[in-house]
Amino acid sequence: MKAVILNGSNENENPLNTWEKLIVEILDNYGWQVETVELRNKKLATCIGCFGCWIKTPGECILKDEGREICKNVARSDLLVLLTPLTFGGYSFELKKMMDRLIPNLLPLFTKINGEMHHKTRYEKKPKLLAIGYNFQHDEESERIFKELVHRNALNMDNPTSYVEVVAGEVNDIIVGEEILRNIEVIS
Amino acid sequence: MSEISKVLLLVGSPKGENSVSNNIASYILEKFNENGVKAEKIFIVKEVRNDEALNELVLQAIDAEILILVSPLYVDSIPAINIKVLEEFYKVKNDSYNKKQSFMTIFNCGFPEPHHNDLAIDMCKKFASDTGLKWMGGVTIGMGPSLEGKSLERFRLAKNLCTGLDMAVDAILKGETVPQEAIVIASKPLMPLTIVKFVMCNFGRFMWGNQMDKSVKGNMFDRPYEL
Ligand SMILES: Cc1cc2nc3c(=O)[nH]c(=O)nc-3n(C[C@H](O)[C@H](O)[C@H](O)COP(=O)(O)O)c2cc1C
Repeated sequence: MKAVILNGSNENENPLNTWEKLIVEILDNYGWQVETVELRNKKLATCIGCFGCWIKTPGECILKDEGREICKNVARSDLLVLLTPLTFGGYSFELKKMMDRLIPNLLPLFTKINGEMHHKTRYEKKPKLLAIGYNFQHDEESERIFKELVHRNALNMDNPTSYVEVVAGEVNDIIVGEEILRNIEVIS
Repeated sequence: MSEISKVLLLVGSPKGENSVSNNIASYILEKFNENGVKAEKIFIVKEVRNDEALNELVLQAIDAEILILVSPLYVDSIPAINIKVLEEFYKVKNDSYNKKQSFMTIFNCGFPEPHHNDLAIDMCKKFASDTGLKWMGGVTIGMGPSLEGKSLERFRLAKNLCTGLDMAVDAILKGETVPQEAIVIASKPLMPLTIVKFVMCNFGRFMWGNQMDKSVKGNMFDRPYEL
């Protein structure tokens, strides 16, 4: 089983980076093959909105940087883990620059899910989704937005299941670790 | 004459000038200019490429009395380049800037239902509250690509959108808050949703097929990655 971790932390000193290592360790114990991507250290172009990945080079971004490889690894994965500081309730710039570049794995064609329009997916295989957001202080609205966003992304990417956690305020790594472990046990 | 002095329109589409967002921003700009208020328009995509330009953009945004972000929806949310600007704005705008500023956003998306944009609007509202900007509301537009390259004024389907935007601009010019009614009218679906959804689901293959590059005409379903 393959997992890809997209770490959208903006800085080196952030609890998310500790959790990234912990997740790798836990997944490793469960026999997963893990690839971590610390997005802040990657020089990735942002999506230019050309839809070239649907109409010029179907299934591949026309931008030839590491974004292509990451997109491929996500397509091959069984689990996609997103780590991000809550940014006005959403993803950080670092994570979003990659999320915007995952649309090659979708098809341009439409389908209705619960009566609402979405895209069909290019591959039958779709990873499960685990998203963990960190907020330096509790904020109900940010947390609501984040949970809803992950839920809607899972609808659009057709992830078979999605799990979302928000950790806010003073961080107790033991408690967070237990929470992550519980999630991964369920996923595995 | 309005007392509003500085209106800044931020065009948040990575496509820059050839975008629906620019089309909408140009319509609003025109309305302000017609009323003697000098509004300015900046393309975020041109400014985020280097730190200096980004910093300059943020300073200009902080200086505006009325700030309007016009953006597409990307992956249920705000496109990365705009998040970058909001993050920088948040960092720079500290207590030394206590000027009164108002913020409004207009999001357009590809799916026909305008509500896909709701979360992006919620994020912008949260941004406003976190940075001390007065929130003026967010317009949500579905079926955005149908507005591409069109004059909104002359495009029948954009009638409600124009009416709502006109109401919003009028209120801003008078120094009033944008009425909820303006947002509701501007956010009405461009066409009856049942019909559009039927067409998109049943003829999507044809619609996109027409846009495919000649060299890859039959390759819409390609799976370049061995899984
Ligand atoms: C990377 C990417 C992600 C997108 N995600 C969504 C989405 O989640 N929902 C949607 O309805 N449209 C989505 N769209 C479609 C755009 O919102 C739509 O084409 C819009 O009209 C573009 O506006 P613009 O011309 O101002 O850039 C996406 C487009 C791109 C390129």
